Amino acid sequence: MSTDDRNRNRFALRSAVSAVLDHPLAVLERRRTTVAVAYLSALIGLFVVSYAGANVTVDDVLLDTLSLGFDHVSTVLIVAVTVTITIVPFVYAIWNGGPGLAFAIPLVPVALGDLAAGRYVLGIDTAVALTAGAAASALALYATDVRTAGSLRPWRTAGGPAVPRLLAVTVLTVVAAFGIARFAAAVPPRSLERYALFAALWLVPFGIVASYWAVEVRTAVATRADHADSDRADT
Amino acid sequence: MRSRRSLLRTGGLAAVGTLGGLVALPSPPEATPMDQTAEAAALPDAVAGWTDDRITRETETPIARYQYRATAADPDRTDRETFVATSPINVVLLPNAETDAAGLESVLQVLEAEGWLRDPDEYTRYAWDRTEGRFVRQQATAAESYFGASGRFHVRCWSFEGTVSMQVHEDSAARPKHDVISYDRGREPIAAAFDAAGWDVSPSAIDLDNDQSDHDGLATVITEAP
Repeated sequence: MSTDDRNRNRFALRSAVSAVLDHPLAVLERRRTTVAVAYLSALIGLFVVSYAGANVTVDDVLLDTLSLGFDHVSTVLIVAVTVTITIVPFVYAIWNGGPGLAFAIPLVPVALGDLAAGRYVLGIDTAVALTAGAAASALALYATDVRTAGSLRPWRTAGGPAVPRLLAVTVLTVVAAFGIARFAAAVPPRSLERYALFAALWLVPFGIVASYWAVEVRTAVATRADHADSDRADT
Repeated sequence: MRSRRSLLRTGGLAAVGTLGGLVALPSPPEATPMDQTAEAAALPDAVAGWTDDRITRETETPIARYQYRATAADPDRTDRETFVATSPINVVLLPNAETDAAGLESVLQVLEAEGWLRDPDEYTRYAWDRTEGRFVRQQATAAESYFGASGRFHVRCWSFEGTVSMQVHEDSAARPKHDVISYDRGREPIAAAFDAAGWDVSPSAIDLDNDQSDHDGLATVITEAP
C-alpha cells in the first residue's frame, strides 16, 4: 500500500469517526461524546482485566489465583457496571443529549457479559438496561429541546424537535417495551420482584414520547384543516 | 412542509428499525419458579453412610463443607492457615457420570437450560480436596446474570470423587457492591430446577455442621436419576 493510499484511508477513517461523534443521535457537544466513549473504553478495559484473571493461565496457573487484586477488580467492575446500567445513561442524556448513545450506554456492559458467557439471554440485567436505555434516550431528546427552546414544554414550541430524532426515540421505546413485555411474561416471580423497582422508569419515555406525538398529531390535523379551508375558499 | 415521499421514507425507516430491533432482542430464560416444591425423594445408597451423624471434618467424606478465600496472593494450597472459610456448602449432587468433569458438566447443563450463565463475574474461592490434600479453585460456576447488578442466585461447584459440592446463595443487588443475603433461599431455585430436570431431590438430608447466617447446616442432596 502506498503512502497516498494510507493517508487516504486514514482520512476516511477519521471522517467516519467524526461523523459518528457528531451525529445528532450521539451528541450535543462532540467533546462530551468523546468523554462518554472514553468512559466506555475504560469500562471495557476493566472488564478485560477481570475476564483475563479467570481465563488466562501462566504456567498452567490461572492469573486470579496469583493475586488477590482480581477480587478487587471484580468489586470495582460490578460497581462500575451497576452505575453504567442505572445512572450514567441519565447523566449523559442531561449532559450531552444524544438519544442513541444514551440508549446504548447501559447495553454495553450487558453485551460484554453475554459475549463472555457465550449466551444471548434477556435476563434481569438486560431488562434493567433496556428500561434505563429507553428512559435515558427519551430524556436526551427532551433535554436537548429544552435547551434549544428555552422552555420546559419544548414540544409546544414552533419548529419543535426534528421528527427523525423523535421517530428514533419512539422506535427505541417500542423495541425496549416489547422486550420487557416478553421478559415479564416469561420469567419467574423472583425476577419480576428484582425488576419492579425499575418499572416506574417507564413513565419517562411514555410521558415524553406521548407528549411529542400528541403535538405532532394536533399540528398535522390543524394543517390539514387549514388546507381544506383554503381549498373551499378557492372553489 | 415535508413532502409525501420524505414522510414515506421516514416512516419506512422507522418500520424497518422497529422490526430489526424486535428481531435482535434476545429471548427471556425459561426458568422454573422456585415456589414449585420438589417432592422429597428417597436417599440413594451412595449417601447412606453420610446421613447418620454430623459430618464435622472435610476428611470424612468427599464433600467440601465450606468454600474458602485465600488470605495471601499465590497461597500455599496445602496450608489451611492461609485460607478462611467464607460460605457453607449447602447442596450436594450425585451426577450419573464417569468422571468429575462430566459430572460438573451435567450439573451446569441443568442450570444453563434455566437461563443461567456460566463463569459470571465473581470472586475467586477454593474448597478442600481431601484426596489431593490441597485447596482447589472453583471448578464450575454459574449465576442468573453475569454481573448481578440487580441481585442474582449464584453457585460455585467442586467435584471430588464423583460427588459435587455446591455453594449456592442469593446475592443482593449491587448498591454499590453485592453481598450474600441468603443461603436458604438459594437452595430453592436449585431444588426446583433439578426436580424439573428429572433429578431426585432430598432436602435437608445431610448435616454438614456448617450453619451460618440463615443456613441451618443441612445440605440438600440431589441425585441424577439412572
